[in-house]
Amino acid sequence: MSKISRFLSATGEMSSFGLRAIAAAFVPPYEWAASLQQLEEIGAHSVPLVTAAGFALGIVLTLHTHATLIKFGAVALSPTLQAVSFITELGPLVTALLIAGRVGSGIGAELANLRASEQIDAIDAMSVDSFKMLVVTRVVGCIIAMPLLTLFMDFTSLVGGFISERFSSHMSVTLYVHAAFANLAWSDFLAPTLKTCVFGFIIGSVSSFFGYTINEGSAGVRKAATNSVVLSSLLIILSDVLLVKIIYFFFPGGAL
Amino acid sequence: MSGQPVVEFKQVSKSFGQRKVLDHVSFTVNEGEVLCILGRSGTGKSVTLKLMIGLLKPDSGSVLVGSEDISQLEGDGLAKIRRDIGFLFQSAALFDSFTVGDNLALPVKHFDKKHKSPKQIQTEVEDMLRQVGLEKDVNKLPSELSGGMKKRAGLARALVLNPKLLLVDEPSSGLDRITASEIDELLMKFNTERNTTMIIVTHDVRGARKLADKVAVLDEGNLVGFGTVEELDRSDNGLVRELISESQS
Repeated sequence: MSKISRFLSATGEMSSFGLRAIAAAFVPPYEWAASLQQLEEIGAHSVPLVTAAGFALGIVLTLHTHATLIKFGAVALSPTLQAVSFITELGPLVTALLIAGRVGSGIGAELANLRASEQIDAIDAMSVDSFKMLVVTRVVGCIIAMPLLTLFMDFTSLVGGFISERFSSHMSVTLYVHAAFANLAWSDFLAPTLKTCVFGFIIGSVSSFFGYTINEGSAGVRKAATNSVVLSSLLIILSDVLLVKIIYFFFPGGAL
Repeated sequence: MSGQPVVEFKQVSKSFGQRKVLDHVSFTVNEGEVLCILGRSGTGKSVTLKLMIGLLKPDSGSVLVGSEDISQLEGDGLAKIRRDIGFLFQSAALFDSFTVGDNLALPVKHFDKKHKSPKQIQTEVEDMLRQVGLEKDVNKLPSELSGGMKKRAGLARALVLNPKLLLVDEPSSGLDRITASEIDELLMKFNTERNTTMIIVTHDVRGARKLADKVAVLDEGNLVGFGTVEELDRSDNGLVRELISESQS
């Protein structure tokens, strides 16, 4: 019971920390340059990881489903299954978990190191707002980068799926694209892609919270990095359950 | 040498959990003076500096910087006071991802961006780096600097806004005696040329005896000695005499 209450208490603190960052993002002076730098670090530098993972997962999913669909005489549905599963769920979720690992651990470790080496104190001593300079820029960077990275994941998974399909059934690009998107509405694409903004908020807030608040030297750096990945991954999966229910509520007839 | 009070500690106490780090400590530092704070590790020396710049708040008592109680200030009021305080951290605390030049430019941009062009800011940064002998290292990252160079870059950053008060935490830690002596020379130069009031936390008795107008000795949260080097040499307190003794060097 105490573990659950500690988890809920920590989640509350992190939510409040993240919401404080969102509120601070709208108050001048705006940290445009630092935010763009973070967007590049979080977004652009994650593209190779996300595209490679998407491509490989696209191939693997097609290989798995193809054999099963043949048994039911439904092999023509393979592109549809691929598109629906990736665009509505796998793409956003896998992207978020990958980014929680790559970026979340990085943010946690980097900020904890800045704290341990007194760099955050140095920023505060100059009356520069360290929260805005370090936390707000990272949370905003994560929120903006996540949907963009999800698009890369969706696209490359379909490319991987098509290549796999092409080798097994010689399907043309036109037919694959038509079959993939025939049953998808814009709401099936927009809502799941935009929900990744929430995942970005979780990754940015949780990892910044641990990095910014833990002050335990080199041990704190390890702790912040580990906690950032573990807790953001857990919260992403838990929040996904809630978000899927909300999307169902607003778009009940979707491909979901 | 005895100008207006720049820093006044009045009955300041500070605890972390059950551990009392400062216990009703009072002292005054006047304009242009160099105060060296000595004491064994963990006796609240660095905490004293952090209280002076408002990074920590006292549990009781007041910390006057100029005429303002810095512990009561926040936001713009605190920023205005901090504009006149430079802080050289023990590790120099240069920002890893910034070049030396960008490290120095950050406080100038923050406080004077509206009044200075980028060219002016660059000139000021280069001029400050020249004064500490790092003019050729403006584009280097902190990771490319030696320990002594980092300290000099940190000192340049602390002084780039020409503060009235400079707080220095362990200027000689991790440095060989010659490099430590070079840092001491720089501190003396800025104290003489700019009349900057300095409060220096140190374990280096040789440096303290050379730099200090006054010395404060902290022990277990109490101020057990305060005065000139000569006065403390004659102190009744054995710990004070031992800490200030040249043989400690």
